[in-house]
Amino acid sequence: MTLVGTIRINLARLFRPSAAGGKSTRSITVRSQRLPSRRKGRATVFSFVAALLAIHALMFVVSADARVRDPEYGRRAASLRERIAENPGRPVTVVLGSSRVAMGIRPTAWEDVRPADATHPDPLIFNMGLIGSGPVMELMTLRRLYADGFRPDVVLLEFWPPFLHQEGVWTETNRIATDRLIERDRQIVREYFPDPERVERDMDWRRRNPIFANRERLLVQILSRWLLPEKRTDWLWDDLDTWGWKPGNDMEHGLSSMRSDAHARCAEIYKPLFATHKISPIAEQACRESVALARQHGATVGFVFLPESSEFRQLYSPELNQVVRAYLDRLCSELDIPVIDSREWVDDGFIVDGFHLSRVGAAEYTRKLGPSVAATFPKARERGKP
Amino acid sequence: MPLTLLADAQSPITAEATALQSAPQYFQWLHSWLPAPFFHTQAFLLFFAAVFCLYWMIPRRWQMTRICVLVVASFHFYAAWSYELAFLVLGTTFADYLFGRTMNLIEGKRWRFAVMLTSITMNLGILCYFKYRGFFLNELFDGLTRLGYHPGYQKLDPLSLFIPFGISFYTFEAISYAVDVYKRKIPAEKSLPRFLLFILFFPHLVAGPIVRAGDFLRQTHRPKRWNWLRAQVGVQLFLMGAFKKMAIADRMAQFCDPVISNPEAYGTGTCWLAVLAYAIRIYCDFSGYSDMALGLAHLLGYKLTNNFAMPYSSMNVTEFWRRWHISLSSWLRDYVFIPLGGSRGSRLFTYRNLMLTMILGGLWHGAAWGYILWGVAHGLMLVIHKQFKDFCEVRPRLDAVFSSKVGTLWRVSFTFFCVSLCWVLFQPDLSKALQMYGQLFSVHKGLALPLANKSLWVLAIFVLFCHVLVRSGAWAKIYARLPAPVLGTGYAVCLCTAMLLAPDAGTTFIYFTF
Repeated sequence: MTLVGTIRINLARLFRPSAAGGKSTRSITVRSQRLPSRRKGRATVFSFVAALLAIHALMFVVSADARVRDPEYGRRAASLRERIAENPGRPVTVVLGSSRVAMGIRPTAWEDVRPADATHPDPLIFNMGLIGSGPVMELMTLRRLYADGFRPDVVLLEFWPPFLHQEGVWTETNRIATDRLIERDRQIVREYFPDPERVERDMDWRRRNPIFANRERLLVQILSRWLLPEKRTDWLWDDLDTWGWKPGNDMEHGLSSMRSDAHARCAEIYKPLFATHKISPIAEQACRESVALARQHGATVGFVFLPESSEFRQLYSPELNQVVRAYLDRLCSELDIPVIDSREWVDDGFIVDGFHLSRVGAAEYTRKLGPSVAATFPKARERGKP
Repeated sequence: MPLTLLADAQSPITAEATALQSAPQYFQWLHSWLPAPFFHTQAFLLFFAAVFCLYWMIPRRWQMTRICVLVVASFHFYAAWSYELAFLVLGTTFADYLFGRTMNLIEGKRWRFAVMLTSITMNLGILCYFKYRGFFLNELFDGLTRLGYHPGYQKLDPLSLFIPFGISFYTFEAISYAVDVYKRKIPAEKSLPRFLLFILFFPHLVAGPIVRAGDFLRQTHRPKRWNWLRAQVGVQLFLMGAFKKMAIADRMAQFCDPVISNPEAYGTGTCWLAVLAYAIRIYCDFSGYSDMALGLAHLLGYKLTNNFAMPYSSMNVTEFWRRWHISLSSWLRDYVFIPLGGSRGSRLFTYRNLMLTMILGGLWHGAAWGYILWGVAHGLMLVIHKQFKDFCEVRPRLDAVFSSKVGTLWRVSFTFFCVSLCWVLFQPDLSKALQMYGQLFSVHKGLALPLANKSLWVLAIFVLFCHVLVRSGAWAKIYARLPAPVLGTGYAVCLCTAMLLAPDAGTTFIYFTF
């Protein structure tokens, strides 16, 4: 029988008035609950329990995967694996940092212009920036990378003064949603979170209830439009390119009213911060730990200070500028680390809101960053030879 | 951290939280374990698992011990939310038990009537004190003020009033018991634990179904034997209810709640979609709760009255009331409509009785003009339907048109449309309901729904599909042929889907406040 035929018959049955009037409802209910045997009842209950346990076991494994729990990291890690496989012999440079890195480093622009000299392989720059990432998240990402088996030749850590301040709303751990934490982040939680017991309890709860506790993380990847706009986090990863770059705002080079509005909004946020700015020992500890970890795994480490617009740079008081500069110099000399100071490398017109590069700006900047990385880390280039 | 598996259990009313602070340590501890009497929380499932194991571990011949375990569990279930009100319910139930026993002893009808009246007065008095005091005193205040008199008291803040969960449900159960004992339809229950279980049995305590003493007490006399078929039915009903509540009702609440609380901000089309979402939400919320209650009762060996039978597939409003909240509508029929004279008199007399019954039904849901007008609207629809039915009966051709497939489809759609429109009134704030009607029937631009319309349509079509499947009888056929592993896996998938689709914070059950 055709599908249309079946539907027609069912519809006819549905809307046919019942001779027994309302009493017919009882027969429907009873019929739907009637079962052929007790054995079937027992088998159904046991099948339910077994299937539920099986689904939970499956989800227990699936939700422990970073690609599911933290797609912003997990998708980049998967892309990094593919890029390394496609480019054997090239020294891998991963750049860790905040949204400034995520939107500002566009490796494809470098890939288009790199010399491709077989004797001196060009660095393979990969963007591992995560939105909101400061020194603690950089350390978390680096630990995840090593745990996932990556062995980058160069690790570039973003240096950005606002995220060295770790008080009040600027406390970095407040920005780390607990639902993105995976088992291997426990050490970070114990070392850096203000209330590790609570966070670990929350992590345990999510582990025990892999579907319900992680439903937003799961749903946003399956049916993101079923979530309220404020619950949607897929914007963090939905437009990532295969090199980890997240396209920023598409603003044409030059003056724009949008740019001045965005700058004004940022000034409202960052001016009060700079007035009370302090470099946190927690941030420094995380930074030093990242350097030590990378070196332990044989990587060369460097800092990168990404572009800021001239207006944004003016928000720093001369004293703060001095403090920040002195801190960076001290850290670099103590740890023996080079800095790629690209703070003034691009025109203001390429910077959307004072510190985020536009899409065009990201390409422009990365074309300059590539040679600089190659020049700053020549030993890594040597190591990377096939 | 909420101790939850299926929903975030948060006690919905803050006034209760302050009352709990002064509670004895034991009840505070109890509350921390079971913060809200919601069935789809991990805390409740742990509570139920403990009760279930203990209950079935007791040998079958110790039926009274089993009953006592359920009574103690039910008391704790309610006391975890409010120990004072749990003692109040316990006290009134004990009084009802004594009234019943007294009526059994008295031969004279007049004295029996006096005892029944005392029982009803006590129960209604408590109901009025908690539920209707604020409404009537505030209406009196407004009336006197309008007339220029000073009422001599302050207006009550409705939010500060403490309405016990499920008070309307157990009050009606107690009243029906008193009336049935008075009429000698059933003998008064001699065993106090059995009677306490009848009123306090936790699956139906807070939101029904309204059980009848005759049905329930008979079951307490039968020793319960573990039955896998019954367990399967119980699990199935519970899962079905959890799915309705978590995956559909709570999700629909995300569509309709913002619109209903502020209709003027939304466009006309959005308001119509919100009406659809509200209709689905109310159905899935209440029938979901009822299904869960039925399922839990089955797992303990009891059968409660079925409360819903695909109401949105009704072809007229009279049929709707046979399928919607069946335990209430049959209660109103037996204890209000028929005692008022039913349809034994003239047509006008019947209409009067219908209107009075439906107004009382509206008032039962809540002490607000919105609920009363909702009752009036349904009463009017019932009257109009009766008139129209009579009109069609003498016109066979018209009757044939309405009985055809297209006519039937039209009747179902029109009934759903009317019922959905009436749901707009089904809220405490009448002014918001009127604003909503204003938005619905005049073209306005405004905000869109907070979520993508597609997800609303998917769920609405799913509900429609389930109605079609069950009413056509196809489901019964499929169900009987499904092998046990497929069925069991289906249950698990259903539960996991419900957990996945449950919104961030689950909402309370609408009918808990009634």
